[in-house]
Amino acid sequence: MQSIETARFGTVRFHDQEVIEFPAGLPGFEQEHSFLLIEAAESVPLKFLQSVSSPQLSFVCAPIALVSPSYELMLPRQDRDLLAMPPEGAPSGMILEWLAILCFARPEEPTANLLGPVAIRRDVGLGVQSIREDARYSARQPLFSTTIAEEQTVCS
Amino acid sequence: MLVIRRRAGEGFLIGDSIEVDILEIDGNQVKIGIRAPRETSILRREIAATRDTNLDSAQSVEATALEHASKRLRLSPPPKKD
Repeated sequence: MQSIETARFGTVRFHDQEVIEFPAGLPGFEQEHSFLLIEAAESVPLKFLQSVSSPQLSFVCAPIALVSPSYELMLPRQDRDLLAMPPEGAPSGMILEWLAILCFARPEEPTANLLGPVAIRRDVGLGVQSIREDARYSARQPLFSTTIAEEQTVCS
Repeated sequence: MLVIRRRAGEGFLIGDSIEVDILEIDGNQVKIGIRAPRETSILRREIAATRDTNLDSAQSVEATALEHASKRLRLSPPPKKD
């Protein structure tokens, strides 16, 4: 068992097999190859992509299906290769999880990156941030249609 | 913005050390060759957009903002299963 000291979760203990390898890192973080996917009861359904080598680095994520129920998944050839998938079809036992990284630069108006979703093969521990080749989605898609402040005004 | 028209096989220079070649034009796709010093970053625009968003997303997030977001996501209708 290994452990890392994280800002968000304190001490995190994990087995090697829980580590998800991102062979290509992430744009802007090309040297970050090893992550854990952490869920905490109080923040469900959010998940956290926690770097193993840089404990202060973690990304808040949400399942794509919750962010955009009609989202059309696509995986270009080079991203299939990074996930050790054949050019077509799915290997048996494959478990593919799709997440959108969330940005809270404006805390009241979080956005989701639907231009570059994260695809993770839970069965073999591989991940990739797959940048779409069409122009259909934004890297900063508002997560909610009204801001939190507006909502509070309406409810009170 | 400088706008230039080129045919396949033509090219242009940027500064002293960057050369751009239009290699092939196939339907609505153009194949471009770029010669530049190793330290010059060349990024497809959509990758640059994700890079910038990742850098912003990596900043620490206040607990209340996370709480609001997770609450609202929990309230959203479940995805339809086809």
